[in-house]
Amino acid sequence: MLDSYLPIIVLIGIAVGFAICTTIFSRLIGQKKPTEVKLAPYECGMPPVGSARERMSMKFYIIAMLFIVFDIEAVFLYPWAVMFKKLGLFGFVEMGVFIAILLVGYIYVWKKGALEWE
Amino acid sequence: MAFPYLTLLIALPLIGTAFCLLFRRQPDECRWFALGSTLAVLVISCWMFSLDPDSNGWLLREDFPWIPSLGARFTLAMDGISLLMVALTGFLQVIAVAISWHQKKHPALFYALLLLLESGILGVFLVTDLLLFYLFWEMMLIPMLFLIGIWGHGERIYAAVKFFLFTLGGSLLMLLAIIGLYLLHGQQSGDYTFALDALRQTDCGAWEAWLYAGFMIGFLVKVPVVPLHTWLPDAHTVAPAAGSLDLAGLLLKTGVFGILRFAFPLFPATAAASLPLIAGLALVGLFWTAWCAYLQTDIKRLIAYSSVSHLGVVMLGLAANDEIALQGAILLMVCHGLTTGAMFAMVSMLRRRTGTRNLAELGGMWNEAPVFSCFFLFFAVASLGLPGLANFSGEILVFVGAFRTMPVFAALAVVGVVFAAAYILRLVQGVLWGERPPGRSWPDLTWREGITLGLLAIGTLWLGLYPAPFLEPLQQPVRLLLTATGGLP
Amino acid sequence: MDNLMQIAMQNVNYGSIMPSLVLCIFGMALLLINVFLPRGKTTPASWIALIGLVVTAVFAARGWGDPQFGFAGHVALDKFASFSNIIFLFSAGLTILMSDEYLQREGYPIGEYYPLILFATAGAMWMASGTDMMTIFLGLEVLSISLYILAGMFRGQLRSNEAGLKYFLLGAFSTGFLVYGIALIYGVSGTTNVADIGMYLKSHPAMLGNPMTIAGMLLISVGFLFKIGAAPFHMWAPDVYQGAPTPITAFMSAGPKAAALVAFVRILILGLDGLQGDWTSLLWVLAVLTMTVGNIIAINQTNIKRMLAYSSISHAGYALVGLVAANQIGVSGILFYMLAYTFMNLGAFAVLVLAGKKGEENLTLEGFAGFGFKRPFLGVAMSIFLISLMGIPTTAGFAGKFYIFAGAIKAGYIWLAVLGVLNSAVSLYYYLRVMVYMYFKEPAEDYGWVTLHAGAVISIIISVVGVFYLGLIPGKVMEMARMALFF
Repeated sequence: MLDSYLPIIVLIGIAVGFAICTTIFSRLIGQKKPTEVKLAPYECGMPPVGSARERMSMKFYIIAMLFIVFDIEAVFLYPWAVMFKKLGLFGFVEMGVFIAILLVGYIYVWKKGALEWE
Repeated sequence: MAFPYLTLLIALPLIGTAFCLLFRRQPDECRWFALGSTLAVLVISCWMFSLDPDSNGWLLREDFPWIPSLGARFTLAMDGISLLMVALTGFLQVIAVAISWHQKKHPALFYALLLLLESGILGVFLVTDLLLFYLFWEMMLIPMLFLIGIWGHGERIYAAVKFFLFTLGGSLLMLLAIIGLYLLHGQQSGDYTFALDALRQTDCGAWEAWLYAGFMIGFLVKVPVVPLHTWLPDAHTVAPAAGSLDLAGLLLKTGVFGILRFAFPLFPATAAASLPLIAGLALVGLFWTAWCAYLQTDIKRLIAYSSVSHLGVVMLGLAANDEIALQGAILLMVCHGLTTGAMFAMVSMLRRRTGTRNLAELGGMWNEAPVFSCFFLFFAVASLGLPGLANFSGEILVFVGAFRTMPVFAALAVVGVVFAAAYILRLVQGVLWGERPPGRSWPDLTWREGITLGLLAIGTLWLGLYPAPFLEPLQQPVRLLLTATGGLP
Repeated sequence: MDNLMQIAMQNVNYGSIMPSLVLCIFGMALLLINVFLPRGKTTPASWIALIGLVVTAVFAARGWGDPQFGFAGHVALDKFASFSNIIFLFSAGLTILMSDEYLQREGYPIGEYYPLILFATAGAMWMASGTDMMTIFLGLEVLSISLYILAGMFRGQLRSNEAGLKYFLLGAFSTGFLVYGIALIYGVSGTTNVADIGMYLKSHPAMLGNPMTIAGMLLISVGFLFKIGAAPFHMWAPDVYQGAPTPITAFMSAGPKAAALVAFVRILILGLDGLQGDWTSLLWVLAVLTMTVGNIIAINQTNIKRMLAYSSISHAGYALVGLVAANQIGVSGILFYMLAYTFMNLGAFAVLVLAGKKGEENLTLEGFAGFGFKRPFLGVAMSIFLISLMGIPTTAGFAGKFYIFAGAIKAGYIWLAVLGVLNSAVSLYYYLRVMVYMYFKEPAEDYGWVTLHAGAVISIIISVVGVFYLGLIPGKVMEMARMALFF
């Protein structure tokens, strides 16, 4: 029973090992020219100091939502592509319906102007 | 298949209602629609006196499928008791239309509601299916609510809401009892039905008292019996003339009729056991409301209380469980419908002339309006039970019958009639005699009012002098009823 | 791997989801049509939506004579679902009829309004025909998300915003309960199929007493009771109902409520039959609580829309009485009652839609003073709906209540029926008060001219006909409701 978890343990081992190795090696062989920015904690490009209550443009949310919708589409397409031969015509039609529904959504957001930044 | 006369009776006022609503911009036409359909009901019901009953006492029976999945049917049946009630309804409704001939405020709606009310009342008097009965029973409420609420005087909203909540509250308990009885019978026999005849066979066991109580509360509120009567004086005080007429003349009778048609036959044993209680309530009510009537200064309220008092005598007749008393009680209902109806009609005529119903502000009518005063005196003494006039024939039968089965109660009740003399004479004295308040002139009756009262007077005399044609159709139904409750020797 | 193909092919039966499929196609088409229509033009959309409902009704009705099952036992278009679908279609149709002019008046002619109603209806249909917890959940989500948007549709109105947000937050929270409950039941039985759960619990009686089963049942109940708006999970209802656009309020109180009820019925009676003792005692208390809370708070309301919102809570209580009875009369009574309620409630709301002025500040008791004489048609219609809501004979409300209380008495819950009837008596007061103001009070203000818009008038007329048809000759529909039962 526990054997089946072995690959996961191996994977965790490799991941942890990789992280440790890169940290150690970069410390050992890397150049060190510290600046104020480099020493500051990493915040995905946002300034680390300042008010936390920043207003984001609504457009970011819309783009994020649309991204998720059309990104998930790919997740569904992938397994279908793997099983394409087995599922045959039926699968093809089903997937066509799925894409058509998304297409309706796509036309809708396009015409509504959700894809325009300005 | 025979022509469905009974359905026609119920449908005629409904057709009138529809016409009144359609032609609501032409009040003159509406009046004639109303008079036409009420007259048609009256004529048909008069013709029905010529029918012969079958062995179960039914003059006519009609039966159509209605809700098959519940076993409810559209069953109408008429026996002698319902015949009298239907005839009374037809007659009083004509009078009601006549006394509100010059209705100014929303006339079309007024007549429409009046006719809708008639349809509901006729339905109650004619059905033998419990679900259908409940339907008609509630159908009477809505028009009456609006009649009081829209056309009433003074505290009309309070009175209308009180009337509605009292009677509907009572009938909701009756609904539960109906459902209970329906299911009980269905479980025993496998036949789910609302038919009265079938439900009479039900063995209710421990539930019988509860079911009987549910029915009785619904009916007793309507009669009304003290202490459930408080809605009535309020409703009467504010109701328009035709509303009061219908309320006293017909709606109260539906309560008594319901007891006779449903509560007693369905639960004869419990009913028989409860008779002393009913008699006691009737007697308390008789005295209490007579006393209340004596104290009133508003003449309409006085008559309203006298109405409850008379219904006390009727209830005593029911409780006596005796053939003569029961016939008397039913006859008294008819008589009371005529005399009290006439009194209410006259009060509204009086009010239209004088602008007041306060005894203290009235007086001296005798010299001013002799014809009106004659009628007033006539109906007043009829109401207190003067021999030869309507109420007497009913009351004497009730007392004679009651003396046979419950002499103490009967003796006390006769004393109560003396009370009636007291408040009626006070009324007559205050209105007709004494000094006329200065600065007023009171015209006498118009020909339309004269004819209306004349018709009522003829009815009153007929019932007083020769009640036999009205007692005759009662013989068989009363006997059948008493066989069930063990009232026959 | 060939059997994968077989599974896929065998179990698909488009017939079983045809009604909702048609609705979705119409909804998507409408979305596209809307973006190509000029801004503010919504009338054509409303007509297309209505056509969509009619076409759907044809497919939904087909499930009556010819039940369809599909998707590996996930979906069943049986008589039960078919009857429920008709309820949803009526509520959606009446809503759409009364909406168009309303949206124009309030200044929000938003095209997405109609497709959202269609999607909500499709979601309700999945709930009714779902025979698997997951299908039901899916339907519930589609329904709810559409309703969240619809409730908050009037972006510029604070009340509408509040309604949308409140409904969304609490709705999402309650959905969490539901999913957790489904997960627990799945953990016990190893299946999410409702019938299989029932069978599992029947063959493993020991699991009935398992805390996990009980907890699952309770959590599922919380999720559904929230959607039904039953006490003590009713707190959202008044604010949402008052804040949402009036036709949407009408829709929410009829269609989605019926959807949650029928799905709840299917899960409880088919899946958790073994726990009947537990859930009847739970629902007994909640039914009484719901009726009483709704009625007592409604007495104090002066805003008619809010009053109807509270009354809607109490009507949910009456419907729950039928579920407590859990017998033929009671459960078919729920179906019948929800149909009756659809007519009487949507009718009443249609009158409000016509009577209201922009912003609807005048929908108070005072604002209705003398209404009956100033607007005779609307007055009479409103009275009929109120009388039906009271449960007075000759109307649908009476027939429905009769059915439900008869079910309760037959199942031996005499006191429940008595409490229900007493509650009806309480409710008389506040319904009657509207009529008192309409007819017995002198008009307080001069009414502006009320235009009788065709759509709303048609929906009122349909409702009146429905109220009297179900009230006077209920036999046929009652019989159909009885045949619709799956047990």
